[in-house]
Amino acid sequence: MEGFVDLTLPDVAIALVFVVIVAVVSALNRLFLEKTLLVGTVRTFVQLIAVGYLLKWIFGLDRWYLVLLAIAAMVAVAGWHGARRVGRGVGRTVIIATAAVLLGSVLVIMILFGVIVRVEPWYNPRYLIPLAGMIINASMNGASLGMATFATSAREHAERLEAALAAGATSRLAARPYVRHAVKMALIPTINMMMTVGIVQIPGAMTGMILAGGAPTAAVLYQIVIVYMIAAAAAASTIAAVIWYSRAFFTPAHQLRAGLV
Amino acid sequence: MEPMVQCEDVYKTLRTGDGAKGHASQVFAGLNVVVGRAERLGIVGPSGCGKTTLLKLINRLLDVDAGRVLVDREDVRDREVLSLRRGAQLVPQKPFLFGETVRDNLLFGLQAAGNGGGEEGLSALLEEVALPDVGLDRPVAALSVGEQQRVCLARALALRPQILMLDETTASLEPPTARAVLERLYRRVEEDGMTLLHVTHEIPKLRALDRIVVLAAGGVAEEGTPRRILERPQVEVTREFVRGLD
Repeated sequence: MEGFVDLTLPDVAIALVFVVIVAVVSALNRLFLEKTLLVGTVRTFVQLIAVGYLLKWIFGLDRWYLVLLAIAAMVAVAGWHGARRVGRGVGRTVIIATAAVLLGSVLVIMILFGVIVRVEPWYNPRYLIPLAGMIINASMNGASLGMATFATSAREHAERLEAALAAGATSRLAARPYVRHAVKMALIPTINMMMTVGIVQIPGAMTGMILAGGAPTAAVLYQIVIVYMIAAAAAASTIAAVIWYSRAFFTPAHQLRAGLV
Repeated sequence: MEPMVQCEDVYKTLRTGDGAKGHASQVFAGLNVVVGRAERLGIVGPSGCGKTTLLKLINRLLDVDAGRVLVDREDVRDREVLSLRRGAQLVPQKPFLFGETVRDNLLFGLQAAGNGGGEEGLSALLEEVALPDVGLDRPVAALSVGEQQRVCLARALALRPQILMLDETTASLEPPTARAVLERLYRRVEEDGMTLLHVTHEIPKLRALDRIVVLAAGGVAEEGTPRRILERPQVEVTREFVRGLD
């Protein structure tokens, strides 16, 4: 790997000019995006600089427990943030989202590092942290979107759910069409990504490897593995999240839970 | 009179939404109602008086806050809930169909019970709800609202319930159809010794019943034979209700 061009802070400042242009356009057209844009710009800078130093520190110390701690923190943040977008009944949603992200991503990460990418040592943070991040992110998006979709349709079709229960259905049978719908909707972005990867967008990991001087053919193999793993993690987390979350809408006596619907 | 349904000192508050945005309204505060085996009971009252809530407490779509509801002399909370519901069929005002075809619907409750799908008698059921020309394979998407409503009724009858609860069920049918359906239904109810609870505000339907209960203000405002209730109402709520019928 050679030929890697280092960027400096002045380079970042030049990139910032484009954000300023967007802000000016927004102000002129009264789109009211300036404040959000400012927050986003500052957060991008602060979060990534912080992560840069944090990763440098973790890479330097090279301790397995620090790597696992970093991954646990990622899962926790993903669960919390994923649940936040679902709304109502937040206490329980956080637990469900976190458990679903944990299940989907940890399973996939174990297969990825135990069978496919076998690095030395097994916790090599240079590999484990960025790859885990991508997988956890996919899990979070799937779980969050699935739960939000289920909540919306369950509330919209509460009467129909109750009619199914009255007709003698178990809560599982009554919820099944909405569980299916939610899983399907939540996986659309993942399926779209699989359909267009490399054509519409060159994914981040591949871009990174090519920028760092890696051979495109090697980068492509990595990317294929990542896409498969992302799809698997997203699917597993989405299915788990939607099924667990759907149960929270019913009492053990197959009644709709008041307050949720 | 041997009791089939007993509501004893029932309290129920309905909550919508949750937390600070939630809204609670007390529906029942000490409701007492007894329905006899094979009795045909009419339930009337102003909107929000708890007619639908009462039916849902009987099949346990809802639970009481205090007091108890007995079906066949047993607290509904002690019964296996799915078998309770199959035995106490509620047909709501709005028709909801499941699956693809009419057959799917008639078998819905039976299959949910794990009884598989015996097809005997299904066509006869359709005849019973005045749908002789609708085949079992008809897609539910091709049914009119009135036809959907009758399929819902047939679906309830397919389970051979002990208690049949109609919540304005025939309101969306044309009057002659509604009459034909109810005539047969009442005959079937009598033959099978079913207990009928019928929420309705239509006089001809009320007249055909054994007894009417008027719900208001968290309990029973008055009860009596249809004739007595319709012709000599004794409380203001009932008088207002009867005036509104014409």
